[in-house]
This record gives sequence, C-alpha cells and structure tokens, in this order.
Amino acid sequence: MLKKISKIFIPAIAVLSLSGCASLSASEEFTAAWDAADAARKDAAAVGYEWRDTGKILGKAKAAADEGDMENAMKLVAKAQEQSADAMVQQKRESELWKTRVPQ
Amino acid sequence: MIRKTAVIAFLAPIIMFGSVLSGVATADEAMIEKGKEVAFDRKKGNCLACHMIDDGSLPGNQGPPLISMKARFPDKAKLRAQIYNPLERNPNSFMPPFGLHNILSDGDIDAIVEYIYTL
Amino acid sequence: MKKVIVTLVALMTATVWIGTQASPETDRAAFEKFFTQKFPNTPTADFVNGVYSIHAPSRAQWEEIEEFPPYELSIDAGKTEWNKAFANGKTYADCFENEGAVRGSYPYWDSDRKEVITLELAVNECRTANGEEPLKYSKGKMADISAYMSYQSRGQEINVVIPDDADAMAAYDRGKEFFYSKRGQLNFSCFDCHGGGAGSMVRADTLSPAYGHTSHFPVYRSKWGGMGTLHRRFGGCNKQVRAKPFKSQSPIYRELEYFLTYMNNGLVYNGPGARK
Repeated sequence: MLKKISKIFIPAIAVLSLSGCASLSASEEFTAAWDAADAARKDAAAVGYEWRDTGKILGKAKAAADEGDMENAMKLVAKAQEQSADAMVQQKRESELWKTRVPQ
Repeated sequence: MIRKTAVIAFLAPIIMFGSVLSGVATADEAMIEKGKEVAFDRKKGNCLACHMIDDGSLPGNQGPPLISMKARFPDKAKLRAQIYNPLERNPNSFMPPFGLHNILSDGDIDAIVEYIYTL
Repeated sequence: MKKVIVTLVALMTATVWIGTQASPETDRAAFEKFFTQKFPNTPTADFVNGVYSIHAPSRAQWEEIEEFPPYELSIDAGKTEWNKAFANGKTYADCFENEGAVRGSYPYWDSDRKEVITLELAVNECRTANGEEPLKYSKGKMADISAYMSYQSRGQEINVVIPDDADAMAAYDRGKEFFYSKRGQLNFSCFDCHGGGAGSMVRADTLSPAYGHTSHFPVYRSKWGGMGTLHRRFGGCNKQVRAKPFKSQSPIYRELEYFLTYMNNGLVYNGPGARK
C-alpha cells in the first residue's frame, strides 16, 4: 500500500515543487528586469531626461505582475526600459545639437 | 470527381468580386480607414496639430499641408521613413520621431502611410 | 611667404574664436533680433503681451477681458495675505521693501549660496524665517501673493545682471541649454514652439514668442481656471512634450527663469497677466 502511495505522491510532490520553482524564477526574472528598468529610468532622470510616462509604465508592470499576468508585466518592463534607452540617446544627441539652434 | 483546387479556383474570383460588391472593405481600404483614425487621434498621431489634412478641422500650420503626397514622395518607403524618424532628413525637425520614440506602433505607422499616400 | 600665411591663419582663428565667445548680451541682442525680424509689425515693447502682440484677433478679445481682468481677485487675495501678520507679529513688509514692488530685483544670482533666487523662493524663505509653513509653488496662495507683488511692480524694467562669477555664468548657460534642447518622447525644445514655431498654429492655438515671456507672470490661465506661476507653466509644457516635469522652484527651472528673464532685459514687467 505504502509503495503504491509513494509511487503517486513522490512524483506528484516532485512535479509540484518543480512547478513551484518555475513560478519562483518567473517572478525573480520579473523583479530583476523591473529593477534594471527602474535603474535605467533613474539614469535618465540623473541627466534630466526622464520621459513623462516611464514611471507610470513601471507601476503598471508591477500591478500586472501582482495579478499574475507575467507576460504583460514583462512587456511593460521592456517598454519602460526602451523609453529610458531612447531618452539617453536623445540626451547625447541634444548635448551637441542644441548649440546649432541658437539665433546668431 | 472534381478537384477541390479547381472548385476554389473557380469560386474565388466570384467570392472576391462579390465581397467588393457587397461593401466588405478590402484589406487596403481597412488599412486606409485605420490610418485616418490614428492620424486624427489626438493621443496618437495627432497630425492635425501641425498639418492641414483632408477634411480635418482646425488644422495647425507648423508643417506643410499634406497634399499631392504621391508626387512629393514617389518612393513610399521614404514617406514611411519620414514619419518613423524625421530627424534623419533634418535633426532640427519640429516633427516628433513617431517610430524611433515608439510614439506609434509599426502597425499604426503602416496604416498612416497608406492613408497619407491617398492624399 | 610662410610668415604671411601663419599670420593670416592666426588672424582668422582669432576672428572665429571671438565670434564664438558669445556673451549673454550678444545672446540677448540676437534673441531680440530673431523675434523682431519674425514679427516686424510688432513694436519691440509690445512683446510683453505675448501672443496678443502677434495675433490681432485674439488681441481684440484679450483687450475686452482686460477691462475686468480675471486676475483681479487674485491680486486682492494676495494683498490680504500681504497685510496679514505672521504668528510672530512680523509681516512680508519686513522682508520686502516698497510695499512689495520688488519684482524688478528678481531673479538674481546669490554668490554666497551659489544659486538663483526667484521671487517665489524669496517669499517662502520669508515665511520660514518667521516660523510659517512654506507654501506650494505652483498655484493658490503663492500665486496670489506673487500676483499682488507683480501688480505692485508693474512698469519696472527687466534688468537681470549676471555678476562676474563663473558659477553665475554656468547657471545662465544651463538655463540656456535647457531652453534650446529637445526633450520628452515628443522631442520638442522650448525654442521649437516659442522660437521657430512662434506665430504658427497648433490646432486652434497660436504659439506665443519666447521674447517677453517672463514679463507677465503669474498668469490667470483660462485652461487652469485660475492663477499659476511661471514654474507651473514650465511643468505643464514639459508634460505636454511627454518629458517628466521638474518640481516648481527646482534648480533647473530657476536657471531657466534666469536665462529667459535675461533675454527680456530692456522690456518692462506687466504682470499679472491673463492668457488662454
């Protein structure tokens, strides 16, 4: 009897703990990505170039993750990350270009 | 035993012709309609803010009026590029870089191009 | 022959070098010229009236509004605040002379503190020095007090003096760079709309010229349904181009105000104002 039960339970526990590990790493993956995107946002802010919606998007990403919608959460994090990357490129571009517009 | 392909080949043109007659929009028309929607949407293209376009009300005049577009952009790809990133032609352009800065999605830009190209 | 060439090159380099050593005064002269050439029918002094100086239809409307100005209530409220004593018995008159007619002295560079001091900043420093809570900078009581002091100061000449101080010049330069730099997801600089774009229409609104911009603040803005300070408008503009706004009276906005006000040197304060 014990043998039969263990034949079911041990694999079941294994599957459960494996899937438990899988969801843990998905949220770990999200947290890592979110933290990186927020750091990028702060970098843009440090040079005065943070865009208006980046923080909001990160907030929405957290909310999506809290609801378990990891796919959307990761999409939003990627969107926020891209905004900060574009802002940094913009800052570099403008640091040279602005002088060319000053009326002489 | 009539081959399936033969039947389809026979019926397809009739169905397509029929759909045009029945008023179902073709893929092109649908895209053009979507393009106008996105172009006129204040939160998306908002093109009327700076351009006179078609029957749009209260157009701005910071940019040139959008007319004779095929003549002005014989290469459609160049029109798309101008909307995607106007800074390439002119780094001091007033026009927002709709694609470069992800203001509009690729799909939205494609639709806008189809619409603008009819003007 | 070599000597001639070397001398010529040296002279040319020197000329180019001198040309690129723009001073604030050459900046200002070029700024004024840009706008007076763009709007040749507007008398220079009239630029303090913003969009109404370049757009006749809205001017007619504005002149009607000015018969019963929407900012009058704010001036009255500001006067009441001005006359109210602090808990410690002192008043604003103990911080500011001339019954508040001091707008002509702001903004200025404080060489000891190494920062730009604006009128609104000074109002809050007066409050906190006398044990009062500081006010929020964008609207409400601060806008009322600023409106009263601006009204008292009407007619004063705009004359920002940049002291012979590298830090002051750096502050001016930061304000200047901010003004000409594109920012935000929509990639606009202040100059895009209020320089090159001045006089053009965005939908149904005419863009005002930057020349004269700081003369008439705080403003009653119909869109706000109330008064707002200059920095409130800075923040609003930044948001409109999808850039994250800075806080009112943050260092960069004070430096932007410093640069912009210098550009208006020679014009006259005519605040508070009424705008769309």
